[in-house]
Amino acid sequence: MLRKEQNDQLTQTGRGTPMGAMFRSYWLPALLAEELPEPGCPPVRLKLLSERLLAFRDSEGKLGLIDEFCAHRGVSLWFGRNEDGGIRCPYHGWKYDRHGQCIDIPSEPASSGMCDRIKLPSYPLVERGGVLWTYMGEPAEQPPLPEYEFATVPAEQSFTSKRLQESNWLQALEGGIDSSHVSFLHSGSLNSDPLFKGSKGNQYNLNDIRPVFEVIENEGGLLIGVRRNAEDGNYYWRITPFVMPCFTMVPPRGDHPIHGHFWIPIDDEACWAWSFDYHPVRPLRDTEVRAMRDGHGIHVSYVPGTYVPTANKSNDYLMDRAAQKAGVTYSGVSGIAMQDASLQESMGPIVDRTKENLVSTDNGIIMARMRLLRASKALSEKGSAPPGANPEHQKIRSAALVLPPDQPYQIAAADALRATPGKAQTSV
Amino acid sequence: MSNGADEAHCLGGAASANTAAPGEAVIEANLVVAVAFAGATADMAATLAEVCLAQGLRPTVLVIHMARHDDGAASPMLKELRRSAAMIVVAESDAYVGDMLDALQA
Repeated sequence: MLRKEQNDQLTQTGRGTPMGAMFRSYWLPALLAEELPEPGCPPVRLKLLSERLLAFRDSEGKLGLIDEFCAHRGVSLWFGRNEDGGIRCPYHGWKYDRHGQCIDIPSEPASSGMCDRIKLPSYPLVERGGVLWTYMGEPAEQPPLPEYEFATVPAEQSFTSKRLQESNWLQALEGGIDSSHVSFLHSGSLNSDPLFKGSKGNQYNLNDIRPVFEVIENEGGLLIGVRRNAEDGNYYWRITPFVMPCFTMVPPRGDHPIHGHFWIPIDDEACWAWSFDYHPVRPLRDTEVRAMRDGHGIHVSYVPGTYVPTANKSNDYLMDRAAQKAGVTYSGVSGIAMQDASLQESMGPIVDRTKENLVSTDNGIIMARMRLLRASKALSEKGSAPPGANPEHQKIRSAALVLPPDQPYQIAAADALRATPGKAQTSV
Repeated sequence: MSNGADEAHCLGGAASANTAAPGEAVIEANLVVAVAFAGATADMAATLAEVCLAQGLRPTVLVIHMARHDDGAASPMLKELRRSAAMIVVAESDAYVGDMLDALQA
């Protein structure tokens, strides 16, 4: 459980809050590159960390991320005209460049200097690995660009999607580091989902439903190891890295691509669940990409024209009681992503953690919360850069492997956990 | 609360106990959080494991200061702890002892 003030501190990410300052210390996924496909294309409204913003690609193809609203009378610039090096408000013609600088006020004489004095808040927006990343903190503290492996392999080896999740970001993150639910909630999917089935690891998963956890603090966050019994007294380990503030990777299965998530706050009651798949040494197969686009694995299908999942709160996630009863799915909800999201959203937008009853298998969650609280305190009181912003912390992989019973996995699997270009993932 | 190396300590139930002989504390406990400093002997870890197994307890074990000890010392201890522990947490700071007890409402 948490005290109310701790829960508030972890879940509030608006400007001026401790966790808001934490998030503003990192490069964060803002949009998929496909959302701004070409120079002069329509702008995109988005909300991040409770700030309403407008992203656009100007007529020269350069990316901008600025305050959504015109400085004149507060009109949304989403209605604006993306023309000749900037976006022009359709109300009175004020025009802004990609840095938010006002570059034209048609009704004012140039000699007034009014135009030069008007500047909207803006943030850098950078394309990397099919994702548009932004940094919303102090320019002087801007860290190097992200080095997560999924964003640095060749484009044909990686696939990324996002979906709206109607809950606070922390509920979603905690699902990502709570491996104990897999043997229950996702048990029906391990041997049927095209992006999961066929690995020997699945049998270890399904044969031992009482996994044992070992959580290890590391430089960038945590390693969450889950062990199950394997042959000859050995242990089958699945190791999930958590890189602060909100990056997790799912341990691989067989030769399937590796996958993982970011959980990015939209505001305090919703987040973007970013999901990626990549293979370190080979292009994704057409069948794999098709399965991802169709919503298999950790991805979803969408309400057309949106990033809202087809199965969502408004339709009770297409709950199928017959499938639940027959054991086709454990919860009655289809698809791994929405099995998670449906339950996390059911907790309410911000779950009251003063009322929870945690058990030993929740120690990954406990440690993650404590690391986040400590890091935000160190940032606000001492200005200490938080873990996970350093690109070296981001060069990490999940792993699945069998080890002898006396081996500390963080040492035995050290190479497997390091993202090494050109080297295949360690998987069972 | 423990303050030395080479010992395994048990904290039982709502009232914490502090002992280098974990048996008595474990028998009284409805929840066991053992704080085993890295560098503790494998014998101490084995004793803890035996007591917990005999009592049907599956403790959460917090290992502190692992990085200060060589890997050779950690392996035998981990092997023993793994016999009974439901969860092992490895942290650098002993401040997590209080965090964990608060979170688990121990």
